[in-house]
Amino acid sequence: MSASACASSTFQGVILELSSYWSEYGCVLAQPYDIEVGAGTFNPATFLRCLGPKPWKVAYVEPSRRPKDGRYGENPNRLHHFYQFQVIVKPSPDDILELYLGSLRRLGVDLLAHDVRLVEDDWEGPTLGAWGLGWQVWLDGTEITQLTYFQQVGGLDLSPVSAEITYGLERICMCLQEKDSIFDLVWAPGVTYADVHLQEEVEWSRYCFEESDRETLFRHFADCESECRRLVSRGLVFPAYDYCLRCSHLFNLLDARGAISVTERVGYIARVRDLAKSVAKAYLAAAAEE
Amino acid sequence: MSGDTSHLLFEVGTEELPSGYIAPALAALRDAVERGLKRERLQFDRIETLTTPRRLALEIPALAARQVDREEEVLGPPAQVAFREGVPTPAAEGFARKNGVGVETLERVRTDRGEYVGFTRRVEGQSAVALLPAILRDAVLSLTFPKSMRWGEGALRFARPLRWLVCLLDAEIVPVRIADLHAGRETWGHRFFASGPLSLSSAAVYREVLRAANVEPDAGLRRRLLREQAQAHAAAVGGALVTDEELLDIVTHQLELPQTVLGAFDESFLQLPRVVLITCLREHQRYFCVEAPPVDHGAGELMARFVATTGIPDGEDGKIRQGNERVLRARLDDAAFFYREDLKLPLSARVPELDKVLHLAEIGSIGDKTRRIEALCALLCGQLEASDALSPDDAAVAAAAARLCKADLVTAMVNEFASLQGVMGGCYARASGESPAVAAAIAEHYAPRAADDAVPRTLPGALVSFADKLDNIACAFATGNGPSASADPYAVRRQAIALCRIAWAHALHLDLAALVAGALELLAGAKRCPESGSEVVGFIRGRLNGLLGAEAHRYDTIAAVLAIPDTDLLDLRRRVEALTAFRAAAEFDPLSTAFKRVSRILPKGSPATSLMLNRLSQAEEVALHCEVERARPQVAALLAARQFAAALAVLASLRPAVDAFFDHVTVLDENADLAANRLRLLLEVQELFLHVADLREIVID
Repeated sequence: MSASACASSTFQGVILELSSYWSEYGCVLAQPYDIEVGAGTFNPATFLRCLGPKPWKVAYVEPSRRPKDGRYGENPNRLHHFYQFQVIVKPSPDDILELYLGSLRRLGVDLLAHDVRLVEDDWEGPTLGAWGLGWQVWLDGTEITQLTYFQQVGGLDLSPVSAEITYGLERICMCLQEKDSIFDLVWAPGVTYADVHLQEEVEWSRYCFEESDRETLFRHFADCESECRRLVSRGLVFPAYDYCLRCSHLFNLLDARGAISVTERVGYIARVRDLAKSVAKAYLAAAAEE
Repeated sequence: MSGDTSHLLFEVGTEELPSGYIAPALAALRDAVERGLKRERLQFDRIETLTTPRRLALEIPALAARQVDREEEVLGPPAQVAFREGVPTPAAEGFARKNGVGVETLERVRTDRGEYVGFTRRVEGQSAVALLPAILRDAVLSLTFPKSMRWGEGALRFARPLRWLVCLLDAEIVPVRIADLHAGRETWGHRFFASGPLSLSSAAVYREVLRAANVEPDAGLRRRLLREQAQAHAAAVGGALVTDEELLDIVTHQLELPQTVLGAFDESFLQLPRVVLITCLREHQRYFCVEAPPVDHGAGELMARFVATTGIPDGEDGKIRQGNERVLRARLDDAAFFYREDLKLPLSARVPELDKVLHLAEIGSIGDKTRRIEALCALLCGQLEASDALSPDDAAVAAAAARLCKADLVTAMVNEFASLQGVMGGCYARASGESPAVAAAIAEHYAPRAADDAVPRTLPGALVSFADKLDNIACAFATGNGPSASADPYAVRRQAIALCRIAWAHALHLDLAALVAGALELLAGAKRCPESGSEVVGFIRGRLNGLLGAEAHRYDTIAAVLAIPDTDLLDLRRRVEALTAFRAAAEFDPLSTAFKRVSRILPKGSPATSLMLNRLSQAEEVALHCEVERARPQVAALLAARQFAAALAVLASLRPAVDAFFDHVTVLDENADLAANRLRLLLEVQELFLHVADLREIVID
């Protein structure tokens, strides 16, 4: 792709371009959350702020962990740890698709020379009690973005509806830089993605698949679950939500370790979802008291 | 149609709709508008439909400018009140004044309730412009989708957000309003090629303006163009397009401008099984496959080519082609890696791993399930071998396939591409040196997966499939997850239908009751395992209603057969067929009437006595007894030989004797002994009939 001359020829350049594009639009530039999450949706800047009536515009990078997707750094397309660029606009504006396409232009994608296609997608985040309708965005056959009109979060109907844009930064950069392997991406001039992340991919894959201790993880899950419930009962919404996030990540670790059977999986997802729902309710209750 | 007509255009602009929603929504919109126009008496020649991912549109080339005028009768007071000796009374004058007509225009009108006065008023039709906004708005709001959503701050639900409305009657805007959208004359062209709205001078220029803006609004034409382009690409490399109408539908509704590119992948990937390649290309990327011209008559080998669709024509530098090739390479690399890894172990070596994979918490692992399938398969084979309907070879193949059928569930390929379960097992079985027959049986043991899917072609495949599905049904009942009116969590209806179809297609005579009992016994540890299999057997037999009903057998014919305690699915079908054929015969209705006569007179619960020959006093009862004695061995022999039509014919031959009996014998004689004996005789008649069908279920039109 013809991006060599512009800022988006590097991974960090893409982050900078998207950040300035959306901050020019009026988004608050938030930062990654400091607890392990599976996606930018888990950041309270999305999960909690989508609830209730107050308008909100935010953009941020979210380092995301999917323990099951680790491949010891050997697969050119899969990572345990990757990056999303997340945008929330609430209420969803009428021109959200045009705004999104404008961001691709900003990255140097020539929309008259590439096939950008919106392919329907019913998005669901079962551990968050969240779902929405929208699209996967394909760029010449590669899924680069997920665009969703949130309908429910924490099991609660949303009004107004928020639009969520989740860019897959590695995927976009592979298209922009015409690379076949994530690890060959240019992160900064002279520095590759492998330089920054390869060793940790290898180690985390070993940890998630071979070394994590099931008993410890189960115990931590139980502790975090009861702590979340206790904090909800004390009206401490944000601390409670942190413990809900920890449960979600612990579940992902247990799942990657093969410690949870197919049927038990459903039960664990429901337990995390129940926490998320109780936090969402508590958040709205606290907002109503303001 | 007469009078002035106008050209109507109605376009609903949306964000990109799910491709599968578009055709049904367009048809529903068309029908709703048609109903609305007819309700409002607005005449039209035809409704044409146009659609792209971003629009649902209707055109009516000739729509009447006004409703048809109509005449309306306005009734006033009764005639005898309105006129006294031919002179209008104040009542008539008041009525005429109120309606603005002269009293001399009042006429006498005859009604059901007597004679009234009244007059006929001509009601002028309203204009189409006045009526269309409500008709069109209601039609749009009546659309439903599998999933719908809200957006922004609005409350309206639709498949995706509505963005604009166009409604023109010739050059005039029709003021349709839906939520906060007002119809105008501005539409939108191709998302990328045409920036800004396009103003339509009149309805008639719609297609022309869209085509100039790189949008082809006729989905049928887009579909044809895509097919032709794809075929031309395939032909250009000496191949042929693998026909795929469903995929063609999907991509037709993803693009506003139909374009295709021909891409290639590395020849080495052709070593992957065909189904794997097709899954990567079709399911994940929506690409068409290309195959070499077939040798002889079979399907040709796949070529290392694909046809991708695109909404933008590829430039000379081939960027779109290259992008698609890159993403496909990643997919195929993944698949090739899984395939190589999977081939490192023979399929049989994976069977022990199945014990570690949970199937159902209450019931156990996939390993447990495999052992149940093996046991049920053996039970099936035993039943068939007892009647010499199965060769020892086929039995051995079925047993081997049953043992290996679930082993692919622990392969990397099936973990990644779940839809390949079974088929992959077949590939790996062949690669592991299993016989082609075993591999084929494994590959097809999930069939039929849907109502229109074929049943397994080979007998061993059919047996393993039957055993697997029977176990699934038993598991559902044993865990309290059986079907209810509103839910069927384990999809057991579909599987029970599959059992019937398999038994029929392979002409399998099986004792379903014994099989269900066997299946439940294997699950005896489960909490809610039913004590008796009758509920499960009844559920499976109940599928005949739908299956045979769809073949135009009458529901009461099926009910008459299902009332018989036969549990051989194939025999049940043949009984229904015989009874349907027999119902066409002239002697059927009288026979059914005679049987109902017999049944009506019999008290509930059978008489305790046995038939006393010396109490048969009248000639007609002796004759009936002789007829029953003659028929009984014949019916038994014919049923044993499964000659159901002939058995029905024998029953029909009893009718004259039954009729004569009722005509001349008083059943409930004053002599209680005689009465009991006659009831006993009728009971024997009834029992004989009930071996074949319960004709009480038959409804005579």
